[in-house]
Amino acid sequence: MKTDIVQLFENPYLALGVTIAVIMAYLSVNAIMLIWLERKLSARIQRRIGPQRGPFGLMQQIFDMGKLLSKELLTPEHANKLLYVIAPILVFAPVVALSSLFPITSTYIFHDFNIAIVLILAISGINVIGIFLAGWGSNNKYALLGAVRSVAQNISYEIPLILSVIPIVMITRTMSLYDITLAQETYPFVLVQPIALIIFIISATAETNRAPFDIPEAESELVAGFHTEYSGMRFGLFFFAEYSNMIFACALATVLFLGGWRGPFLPDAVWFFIKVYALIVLMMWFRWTFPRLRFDQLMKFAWVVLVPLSLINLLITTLVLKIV
Amino acid sequence: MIADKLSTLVLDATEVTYDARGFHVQHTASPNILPQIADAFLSENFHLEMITCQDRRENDNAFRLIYQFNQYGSPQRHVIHADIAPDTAAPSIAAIFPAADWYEREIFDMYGVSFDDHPDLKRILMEEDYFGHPLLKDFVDPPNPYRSEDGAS
Amino acid sequence: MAQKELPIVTSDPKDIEELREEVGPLVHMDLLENLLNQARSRSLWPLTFGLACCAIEMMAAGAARFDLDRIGAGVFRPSARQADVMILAGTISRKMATPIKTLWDQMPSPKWAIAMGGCTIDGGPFKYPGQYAIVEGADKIVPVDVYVPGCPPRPEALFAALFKLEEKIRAGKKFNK
Repeated sequence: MKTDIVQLFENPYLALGVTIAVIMAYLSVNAIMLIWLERKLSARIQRRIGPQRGPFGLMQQIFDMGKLLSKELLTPEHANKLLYVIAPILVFAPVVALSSLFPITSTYIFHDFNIAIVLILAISGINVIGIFLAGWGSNNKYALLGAVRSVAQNISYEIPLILSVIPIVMITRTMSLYDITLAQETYPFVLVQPIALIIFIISATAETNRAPFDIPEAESELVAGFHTEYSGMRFGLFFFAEYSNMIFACALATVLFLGGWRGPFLPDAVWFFIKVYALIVLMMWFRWTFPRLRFDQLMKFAWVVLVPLSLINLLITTLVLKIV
Repeated sequence: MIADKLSTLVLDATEVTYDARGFHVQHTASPNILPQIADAFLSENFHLEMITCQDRRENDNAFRLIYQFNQYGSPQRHVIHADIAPDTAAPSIAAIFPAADWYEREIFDMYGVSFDDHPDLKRILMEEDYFGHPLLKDFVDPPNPYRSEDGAS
Repeated sequence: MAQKELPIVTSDPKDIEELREEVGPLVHMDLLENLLNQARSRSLWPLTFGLACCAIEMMAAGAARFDLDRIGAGVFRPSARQADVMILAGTISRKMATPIKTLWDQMPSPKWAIAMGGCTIDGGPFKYPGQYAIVEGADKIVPVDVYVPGCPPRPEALFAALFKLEEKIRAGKKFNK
């Protein structure tokens, strides 16, 4: 059956080190590739070409990284230095910590918690604190406005997110991600919970501050939102964190709704990543299709449309499970 | 009708040909009753189009404030001329037509005519600590580093 | 008339050269600087700083037909802290001089400036003896690297300016000697 990484390596510290190394390596390369994908995809959607340096514009990322690394690291004068420096770390750390919970293949996984879902939903709320510290510690009124709006948006959209995950837990009676993937043997859960998938994707888009919910980092409205005062690699870290959050949310959707690593012909891991990246392309597609929602429209949408819809979905699931 | 309301307030009313002048009726008024004139126009669904000023200190020893009102539907553009003596403040109509706010700031910036009861009378086109009023006929911009040497007068 | 602080750059370049000769190359960082210059030149992020009509041509250069993103300059950052090059596009009114200086100071180095259009070169069509309205040239406020003539310059001209700036960056400090 499944082999834990701890079983694989015998020594738990070695296993921990290997996990961290693999996850950090993957997330780094992934963030760089996702930025390239975003620029090329957005260009093609807008009938442009996009970066052209190197084959398919792949060298552009290396130049961007090199430039960001060599920029002067400015700190605003009256900024709270501790908060200002810690904020990008707090936005990035939960994703790295929780990425080890996803079952990528059916035989080798990092670790399998039996309360994985609770852990994921709880710890991924820490990035809200990170965003708020970034806005507060910058000593800049635009950053503070962006941070305040981001906090309100994030905590509002966490509720439909959680409510759309609960039906899955009710169907499978387990909170371990590995067992949920196993339970989708005959059909992926998107067929019985389509509304939950839609609500989940919308809430995940809002949680990661992606368009059309990107008021906190709105370019034309709030200078640059909560990361106005960040330059050089600190800004790169925020970018990094945003794309890692996107991967995280899409991976969760894949495991819960789309059947994880299941699929014919190709090996498990390939199917997992195909599904994850298909959802990521969908999220990027959203960004360049929809105009930005105004802040009151955003909040209204969460509380007036998504929360009742997810509650109704939960109710119907309960009734069907009781009867069937 | 606007003509009746204005007849008590203005000093004269001259009909002009629109094709020649671009407006329909020209009035002359005293600046003190400008708020009442503005009230009359507002009650007849007119809106403020423009306020501008002329420097007539050589001819009449006055600044001439020019107000322009118009209405949708059946356009009828009224122009009000109000002469104000130099160093006197004119009444502001910003409380009646909020659009007058910036026009009056521009007149203050360019001509030096100040307005009473204006919500925020400060310069709008030049930088806020500038000295001088550019559109006066005897204005000379003092030499400053913003100009190259061959452009300075 | 009140005397006030004008945001005009008046540093004497000869002092900097003497200082540089005095200190000398303590650490030879040429190879690293060359590599970094290669990276910096190919990833110039402009600050969205359209002031007047030249801004329309800058937007056209960033849009679909010409596409600044092809040369890496398509990421227009609205915050000065994240931008590399300030493309001054449009007439600089005197009221705007102080914010321009503030934004230039906020940009982290290394930073460059492109003066786009006749108005930022020397006042352009709005310059006459005794004018009171504009700053005659962007180089009275920020140190400009590349001047783009035109009223407004075509998007191809802005591309040429960016390529010229890239050449300048890759040439490194040797350009000044």
